[in-house]
Amino acid sequence: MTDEERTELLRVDDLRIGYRTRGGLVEAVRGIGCSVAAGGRVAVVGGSGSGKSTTAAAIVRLLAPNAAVGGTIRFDGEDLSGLRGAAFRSLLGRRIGYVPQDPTVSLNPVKTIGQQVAEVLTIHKLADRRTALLDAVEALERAGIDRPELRARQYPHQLSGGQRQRVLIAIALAARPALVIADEPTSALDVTVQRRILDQLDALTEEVGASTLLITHDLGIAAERADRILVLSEGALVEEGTPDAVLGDPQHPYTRSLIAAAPSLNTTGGTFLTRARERHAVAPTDTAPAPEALLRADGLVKEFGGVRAVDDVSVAIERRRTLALVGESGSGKTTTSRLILRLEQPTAGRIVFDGEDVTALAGGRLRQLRRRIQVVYQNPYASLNPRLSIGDVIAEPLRSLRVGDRRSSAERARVLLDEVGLPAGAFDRRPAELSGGQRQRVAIARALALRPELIVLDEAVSALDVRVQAQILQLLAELQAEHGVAYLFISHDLAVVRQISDEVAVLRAGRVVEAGPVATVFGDPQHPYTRDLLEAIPGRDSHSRLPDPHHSIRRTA
Amino acid sequence: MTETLALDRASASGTAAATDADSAARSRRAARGASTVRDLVVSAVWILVLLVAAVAPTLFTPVDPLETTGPVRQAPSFAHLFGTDAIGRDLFSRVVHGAGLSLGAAAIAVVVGLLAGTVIGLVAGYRGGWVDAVLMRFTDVLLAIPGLLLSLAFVVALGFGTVNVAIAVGVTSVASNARVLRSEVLRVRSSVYVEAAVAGGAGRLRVLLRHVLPNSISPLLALVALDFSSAILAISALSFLGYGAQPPTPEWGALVANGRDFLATAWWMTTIPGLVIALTVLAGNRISRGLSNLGTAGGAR
Repeated sequence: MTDEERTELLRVDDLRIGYRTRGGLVEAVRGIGCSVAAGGRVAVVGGSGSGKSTTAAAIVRLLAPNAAVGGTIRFDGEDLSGLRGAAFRSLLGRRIGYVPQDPTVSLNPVKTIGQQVAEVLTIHKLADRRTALLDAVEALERAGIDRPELRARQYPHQLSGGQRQRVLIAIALAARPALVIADEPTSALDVTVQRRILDQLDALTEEVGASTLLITHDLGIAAERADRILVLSEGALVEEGTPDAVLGDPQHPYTRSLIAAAPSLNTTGGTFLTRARERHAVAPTDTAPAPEALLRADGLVKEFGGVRAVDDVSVAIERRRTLALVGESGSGKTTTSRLILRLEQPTAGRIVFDGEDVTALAGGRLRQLRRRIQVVYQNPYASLNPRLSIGDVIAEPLRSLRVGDRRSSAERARVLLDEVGLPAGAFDRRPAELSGGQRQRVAIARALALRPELIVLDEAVSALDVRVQAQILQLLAELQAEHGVAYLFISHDLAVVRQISDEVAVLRAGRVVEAGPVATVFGDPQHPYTRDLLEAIPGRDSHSRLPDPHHSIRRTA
Repeated sequence: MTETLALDRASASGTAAATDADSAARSRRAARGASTVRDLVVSAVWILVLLVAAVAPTLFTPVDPLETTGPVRQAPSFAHLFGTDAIGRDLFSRVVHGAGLSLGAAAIAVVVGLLAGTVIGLVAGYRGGWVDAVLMRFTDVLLAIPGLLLSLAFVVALGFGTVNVAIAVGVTSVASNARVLRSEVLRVRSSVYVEAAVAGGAGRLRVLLRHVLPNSISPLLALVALDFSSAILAISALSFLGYGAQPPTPEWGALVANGRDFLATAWWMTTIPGLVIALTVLAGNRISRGLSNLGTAGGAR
């Protein structure tokens, strides 16, 4: 025990954080205690609102000005709360590195990449002005950026999201800190990019001998990348232990629900889809492929300024079934869905809906088609008009297409509210008063309002917490079994796709590289890209069984 | 005098945008500081008093503004609070009765500027392409001409009189209103909920009026109070020059003009109506700032 204390790098005791608001003090963190050993890797896991990011921000003092912090934070034996101004700043960036969450907004758009990396070094006088840029190039190279000399002269907008995240990692590690705090460093990235970046982060922290405090919402990542896991719920530490212990034998009900909610490739016990169909006693014959597809897209091509975003994509969606489009960002899956929604005009190819060629529909006839194809977007914070009440949002498609009168559309909105599991009291509220999961339910209710035959779900559960995600997936499966609506399910998350789809088409660079029934494609992937995608899923094994022992062996080695 | 009265709309909207950046920081302080709230209340009360004077001037004074009721050019006293003018009319009564005309004209100017600016900004921002290019070049032309000069040109074309002056002043605010709204429409147009409305089957007009307009109009509404005070100033300026209300109708700008020959001997004839104009403009500006603070606070939520 004393041995452990000696090597303890970061120790947090009874951390309490509240936000002073007009309604009084809102507690975000209620007495968290934890420690990070020198060279240790600790992952903090929890849903949104669990206080995990607030805890990280408190350590590096990046909290909002209305936050009140209590408790002690000791770094390398020193009480951080005693440090003021310059004394604390000399620590930040030098001994504690911080990797922020969102690479798209965390870099200064008017400074070059090189300048931003060099800034850390010059601030801490680790390099003078002449050598700083050279050192910055070296730091970029270590962070796995290709052609670092070129990148150092570029501006953030010229880099992809994954590259920008690497730049943030380079900045955090440029001064070779003793502790790296990474706040959801890969949440905004594709699985394959995520894996490469986390590998890089692991290798780099190992090289400089830094400890890591990794904040994540993904239990799979935590299990793979950490040697200790802390589970937070509503600002309190509910469970702590090694990945094997936490995942293999969870003690707290919250941890258990988190593990249960994580979408899995393991389908023993059925998927959301099959379970819902069983409950609604949909006979297998009903779900068997019908002779004529509801929607058939043939040879779709979309070019943007000479660049082919969608390159000869052909898919068919059967009635009452779900087709998933999977692929990384930029693979053309969202563009394909927008072509099918007729929000974009295809450069070539044709779309046949229910036996009718709808490729060139316009005006009133296009609006009548919208009655039959609806959409749910990824971000429920952006997809609802903030000025309308929830009831009006849901009834809006009915009113737009003049289905029924004002009374009947309001009535339908109330029924839909109930169907998607929202309280009747939500009817008069504004979108801002609802949580992300509740808003996505509203978006689903809006899509259902016209009783469409096809709903396009464009990353509809990607922005949600795993527990909320599981609820929404179940809701979608239930609604399909009940109403017989077909889904086009766009996702980068293959585990989710496994849970909700009948068929799957894998897209890469605008082309379908593999397609077929989901069990076949996932069980026996033919294309190397599909295999790569499947392998990149974090904690692929840990959801179905205990984490592979070779992970811990590799780490200690 | 005309230099101070000549209010360039472009520069006015420029400073509005500049103070907008501070306003976020300022609103935080405003939440604590009671003094700003007090300013706002005083301004609102002043505008309220003027509105009452505009609707029912006889509540304030029973004296007829057109009748000679006392000796000429008498200094302010209990009998004549603001003194009397060159032919012995009660200046207080004339200022009170002038409120209706001045505020009414300013209201017409604001409505003209708001309506035309909204239509141009909405159409330009939403349609884009050549429609946008044509409409924006048109507003560029309006912005290129100094506000007062533009108003003068319109008054000459439309003919003299308060309503025509009001319309002419309204025209000068069209360009900046259109630009403010256009930039907001551009932001809102690409938002997901607008696309969701299109995918939900909404027609173009419905998308525009129900989804785009309500989400883009608030910065413009915050500018209205500012527009209002600059309209009062511009209308007074045109009346001062003799294009507005014709004698003997009392109008604030005209009152200032009437007194200018007697500046040395009867200071009150120009100073008091001038002070009333200045206070009204100040109150309008203060309320505008309060509204835009409210807007940013609401947006942050």
